[in-house]
Amino acid sequence: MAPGSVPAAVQQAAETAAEGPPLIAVHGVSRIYDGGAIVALSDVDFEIGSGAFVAVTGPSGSGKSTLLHILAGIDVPSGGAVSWKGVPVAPADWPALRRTAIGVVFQDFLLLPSLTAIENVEIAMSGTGRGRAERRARAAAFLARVGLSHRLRHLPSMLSGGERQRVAVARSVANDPEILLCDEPTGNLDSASAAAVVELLVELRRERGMALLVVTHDQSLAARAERLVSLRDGRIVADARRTDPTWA
Amino acid sequence: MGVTGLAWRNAVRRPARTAMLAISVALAITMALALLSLANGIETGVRDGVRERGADLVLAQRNAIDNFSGFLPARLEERIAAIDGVAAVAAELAMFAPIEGDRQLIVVGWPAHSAFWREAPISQGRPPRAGEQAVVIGMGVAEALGKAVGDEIRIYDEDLPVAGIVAYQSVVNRGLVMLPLEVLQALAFRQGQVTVFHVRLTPGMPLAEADKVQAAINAIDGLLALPGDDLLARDRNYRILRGISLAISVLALTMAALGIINALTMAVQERVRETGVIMAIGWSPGRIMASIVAEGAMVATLGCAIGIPAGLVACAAFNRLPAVGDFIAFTPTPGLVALCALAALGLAMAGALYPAWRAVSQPPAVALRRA
Repeated sequence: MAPGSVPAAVQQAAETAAEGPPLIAVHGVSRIYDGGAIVALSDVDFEIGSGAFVAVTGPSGSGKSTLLHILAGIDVPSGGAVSWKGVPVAPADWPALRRTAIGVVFQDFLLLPSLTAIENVEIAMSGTGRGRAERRARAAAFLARVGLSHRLRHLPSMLSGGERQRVAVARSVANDPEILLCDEPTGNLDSASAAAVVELLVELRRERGMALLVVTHDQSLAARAERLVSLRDGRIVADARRTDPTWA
Repeated sequence: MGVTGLAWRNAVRRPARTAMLAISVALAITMALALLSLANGIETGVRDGVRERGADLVLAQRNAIDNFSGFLPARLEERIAAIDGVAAVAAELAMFAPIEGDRQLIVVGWPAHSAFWREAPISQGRPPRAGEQAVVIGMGVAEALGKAVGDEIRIYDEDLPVAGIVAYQSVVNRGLVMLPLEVLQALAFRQGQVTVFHVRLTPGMPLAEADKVQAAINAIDGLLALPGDDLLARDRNYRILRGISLAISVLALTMAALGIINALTMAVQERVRETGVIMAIGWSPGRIMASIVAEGAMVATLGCAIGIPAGLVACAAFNRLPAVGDFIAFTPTPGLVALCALAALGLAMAGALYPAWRAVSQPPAVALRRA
């Protein structure tokens, strides 16, 4: 469906659907660097329910990306624990979780430069038990879904920033994740491309029923969330839901 | 795009580096295959030479460290011949001797009554008479030195006429210079001595009887009887040569593996961020390591594809060189080819483990922060 074609009321209703039971939670998580000289996160408790749409905001250096990295298991907390559906996640569990249940999108796309667009999506499905033909067909379908069916064989260097980010989004949802974690997904895009990516993420979340967490400075993206979490100096200083009377 | 697909893509993204790496592996395999084929050629050459002259057992000094340094009294020939089951005995004094001043060839002396003289396939000329100061040379010697019947050949400080040329087929026998035993003993100051006796057993003798004959010979003080095929097993010089060949081969292959380690370590350093991406999308450390090891294996396979044919060509080329091929044979076998290929592959894959481990030894977030 083209961006903007959904009636606003319907879209709003979908985006504010009730948050389900916790998918992923952090308990007392901290992250320090340089032997404690830098405190990126300090004793953070936080959880995201299934189907939720959460925006995490805060000034640079507030710990937003660190929190996302820990939620994705691509960084190791200095203290505290992370649980998935109530079960503590062991370090060895993370690759399988990212392969099956957690998708990640980065600000600078992070596509593999030597692979074509379709290969960049396909590689995310390697090791999932899907055959090569199925992987290739799914990758093509996801790229078609993000509007890039004409760019399948293009290398990342031949794509615009917006197109690269759409490839990255297609890659992140290729394994039908239950939650999509996006780190400044519009941070490196012009306004038109950013708007297109925002719509794409919102639509994919609605279509697939997955939870969506975006770390962002983009107010237009944050405004679409149903829950707004603010960080400052490694601590959560605000956590508001759209249904809260204090939501502004 | 799976483990091998990613490995292949990474290998071909820097074609010049991959090609240079494969060539270094190929050179190592070529060298290893040639050296091991040389050692094998010497072993098979000696074995074939003994077989061609028809000996069942070769008798040498029991504690001699190599086949040319034994000292046995020639008079033992009669005692050996008297043992039941011995059909014939041929004494032989064998040594490396200076030929034409600057060459070292194997020179053998046989007594006039030796069956070797009667059975030698002389193609030109004749065998020397008893005590005659003359030689018979193998075809390889004739070709390498450009000698014909009637020419003179210098052994030690004596110029001896070539009485005949013998058409042995085995490489070792083609490179022999043969002369009457007493003449060689005089030239080499080894009067009354021989280095080995060649023994033929009664035709059709059962194995158990042959063992008894061997035991009877071994009961003679200082004698050791060996099947001709085992002649080199106790030879120190051959064992040194084989050891050196093996050591140089291992060194060459190890150097190639170090090249792969170095190149893959650099490649992994260059691709730290990409490795972080692959980990971030759910690849396990094991799959990432497998991909890097597969990349090393692909380079080694390419090296084998170049190095093995090059090694076979090198062996054939050496064998065609008169200065080499007339005296020794580089004899590659399927087993040696497989050994070199497996060693190269194994070392390359083992070497790739280190950069592979480095690639996955840090959390993805750290890798992703790298520029």
